[in-house]
Amino acid sequence: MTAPAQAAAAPGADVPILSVRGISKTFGSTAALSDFSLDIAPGTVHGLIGQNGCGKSTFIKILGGFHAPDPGGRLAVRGEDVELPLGPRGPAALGISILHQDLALVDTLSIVDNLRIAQWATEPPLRRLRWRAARADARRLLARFELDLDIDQPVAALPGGERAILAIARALDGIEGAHGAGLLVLDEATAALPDDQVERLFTAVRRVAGDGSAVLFVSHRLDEITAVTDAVTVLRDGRGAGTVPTADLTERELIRLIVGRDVEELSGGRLQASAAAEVLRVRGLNGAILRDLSFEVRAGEVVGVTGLLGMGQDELPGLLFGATKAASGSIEVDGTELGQARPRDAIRAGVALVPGQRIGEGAVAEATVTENVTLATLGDYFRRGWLDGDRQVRDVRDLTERYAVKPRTPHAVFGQLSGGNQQKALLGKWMGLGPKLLILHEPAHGVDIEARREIFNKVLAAAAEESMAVLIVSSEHDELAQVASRVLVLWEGGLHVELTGGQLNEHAISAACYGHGGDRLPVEAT
Amino acid sequence: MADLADQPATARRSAGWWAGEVLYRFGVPALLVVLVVVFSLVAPSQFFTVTNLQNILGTQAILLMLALGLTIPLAAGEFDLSIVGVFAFVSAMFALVTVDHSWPVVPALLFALALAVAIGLTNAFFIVKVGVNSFITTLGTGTALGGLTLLLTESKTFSGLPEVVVTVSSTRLLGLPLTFYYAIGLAFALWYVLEHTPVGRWLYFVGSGPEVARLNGIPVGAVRTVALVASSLIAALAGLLQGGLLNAVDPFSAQSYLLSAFAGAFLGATTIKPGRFNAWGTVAAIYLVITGIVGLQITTGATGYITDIFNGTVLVLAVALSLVVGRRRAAAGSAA
Repeated sequence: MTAPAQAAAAPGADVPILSVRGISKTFGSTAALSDFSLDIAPGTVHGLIGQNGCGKSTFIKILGGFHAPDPGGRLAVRGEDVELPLGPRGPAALGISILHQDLALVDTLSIVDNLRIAQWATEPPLRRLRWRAARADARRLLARFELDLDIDQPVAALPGGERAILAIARALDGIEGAHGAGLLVLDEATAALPDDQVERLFTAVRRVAGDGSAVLFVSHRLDEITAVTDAVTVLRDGRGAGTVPTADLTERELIRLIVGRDVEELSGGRLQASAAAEVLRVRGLNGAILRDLSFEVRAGEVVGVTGLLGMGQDELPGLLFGATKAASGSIEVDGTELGQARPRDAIRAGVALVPGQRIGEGAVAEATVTENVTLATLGDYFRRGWLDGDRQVRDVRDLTERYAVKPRTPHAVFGQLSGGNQQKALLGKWMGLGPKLLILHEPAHGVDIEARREIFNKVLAAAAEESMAVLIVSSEHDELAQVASRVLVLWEGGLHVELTGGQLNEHAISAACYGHGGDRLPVEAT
Repeated sequence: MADLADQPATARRSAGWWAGEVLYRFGVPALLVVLVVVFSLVAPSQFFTVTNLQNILGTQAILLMLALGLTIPLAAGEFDLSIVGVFAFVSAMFALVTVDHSWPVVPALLFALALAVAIGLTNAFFIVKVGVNSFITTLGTGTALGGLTLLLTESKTFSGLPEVVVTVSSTRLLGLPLTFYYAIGLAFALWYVLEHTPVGRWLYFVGSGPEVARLNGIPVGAVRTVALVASSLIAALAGLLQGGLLNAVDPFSAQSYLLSAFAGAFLGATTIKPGRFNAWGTVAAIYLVITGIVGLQITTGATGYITDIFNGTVLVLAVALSLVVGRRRAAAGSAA
């Protein structure tokens, strides 16, 4: 698979395709990226890894021309300094192509249409499309990646791996056409791929590097980084935490770089069965990603669920609430079976869900606070053939007071509230039903620190005083470490590790997300 | 009010903002008044007369009923273009069984209403169960019903409907046919349901945020089904009353109502309770449209074509207006 093209690229082989020196980016008073430097050699696959908020996305957006970096940094492509910011057309002009998870393919169009979508060759005098040339080009591109496909078939019919390769072929065509070799950035390109397709993508990625271009492979997944890259750069808190040749690297060391400290071995032992009654009992739950998941939450317990992107945790709230149908498995709430329930059955059984999207799932932005807050309990306000508006307003005003929602106007349009106030209003709404089980999905997304504190205080108080069971699905590990008494870390749809007691800290949770502990991944890559 | 004290943003709003808000909320009724004044000044002897007032209020009561019925599925986020098909089909079937087959009134009436419910359920089956777009579904069922009407009636006009139907619809009270009062009664009923019962709130949430509605335990499919059956039933009743008013059923008569009803409902959603389909907004909008048309006919001598020009223009402008002002409000909201 090592291509002869590498030899042809020899004259410039020592000059990095991309060289970044001292790039910073501050938003307001927060530094998203500080003094970051990076070299990517031609013919290599370079990994970039780090936790949420480490500055990865900021860096990719600078490369993509969306963000202007702070003055002072330098960026050179093939040895030549380029002007910053790059601007929206800059990356393409320099031979940099960025591929995101969604791949930007149009499902209903054919392969040839997708390959030529932005750059149809035309000929005078009528700017007629050069179909024959386009088709020949498309075949050549597919042949390069050994894809034996009918170029007229719609992209929708392709399996995930072939779609990704198609997108790569298209991106690469743009890069190489202009410069011979360039930089392909793959941003979480495997997140949407089934496992058996990932290896195909890797083959394509290695081939791109073999032909002389460079690949920046951005991923959450240690196994993928170790499998496909030649070197890895780790970002932590906006700073480069080190660049290491992949061959010299153990997963344990990589986790240490990502998390920022050494993590002890986990015993993985379960918490001693508590005396409190089980409120939620999940057995053998299967969803789109979730596989055979079993766990329980007891009265008064706050249980966190987390994992890397796409490990199945985001499915859980919808399944437990009956908003999405489980493929199989049993969900019992206080003895009531909710395996195939609808949301209204779940509500009746004492489940409340504060969903991940406040607008669109939790509330309608154009409706008032009152209308949104009383929606699930309207029946209670319908007396003698009339909706009691005054009582709704009174109750909502009372809620805004108890949950410190500002402005305290029940008639305010919901969308005009800040994220934190919206979340407090929705929390108050569902807590008002006195649920047995409260599910919070990413409760702190877009919520300011003060509101977070208020929200978690309310939740913890209700758990302690009213024996409410709480399940928090979140990607924020510091938050889980603070409020949860147990944290379940998922890996590819199953339970990877359960953290309790002394093991329960931010770093341990993060490490577990990257595959540390448990029996599903070897801790040391030997 | 205490509300204002709690919300400094409101207090800081300028006089200009309030003027805009009032104009926005009451723009349609205000424009209605302006039109009445202008036409009365231009043609006092023809326009500003009791006869003309009775004409405007009375003859278009049928259209008002159709528009009010249409407001229900629109509130739930679904189109119903089959209303004129239902209108023509059900009234023709009623005429067919009573005039040609001498059925007694009560079974004929039950038969007619059962047909309306069946059509509404058919629409709901395709829209709610199968997931076909409501615009497409009802365009299809409405067109098919129109054709079916012509087939079954052999394109003929029926006259001599049962006496009771004629009496119930066309008896005059204060110079206006009873049908006008039914239409106003329907407006009250719709206002009550939309503003003062949980069902109205459900309709609105199903229309503006179906996922939000579902996650609050609202039976979204059932709400949509009820809305489609309701518009079908109201269209059928309007058809029967029209038959009584004219003492005849003409299978071709309905088509002209479709665009007017949509224009009325959409223009109505820009006023009284802006951004929401609402009963009194629809009433004000229908009478604005009719006054405009009648006034133009009287003052310019324009004939039938003016209706189409006016309705078409109003429909597009009404939707454009609600979009523009909606954006303005959204922008004001995010700035606050």
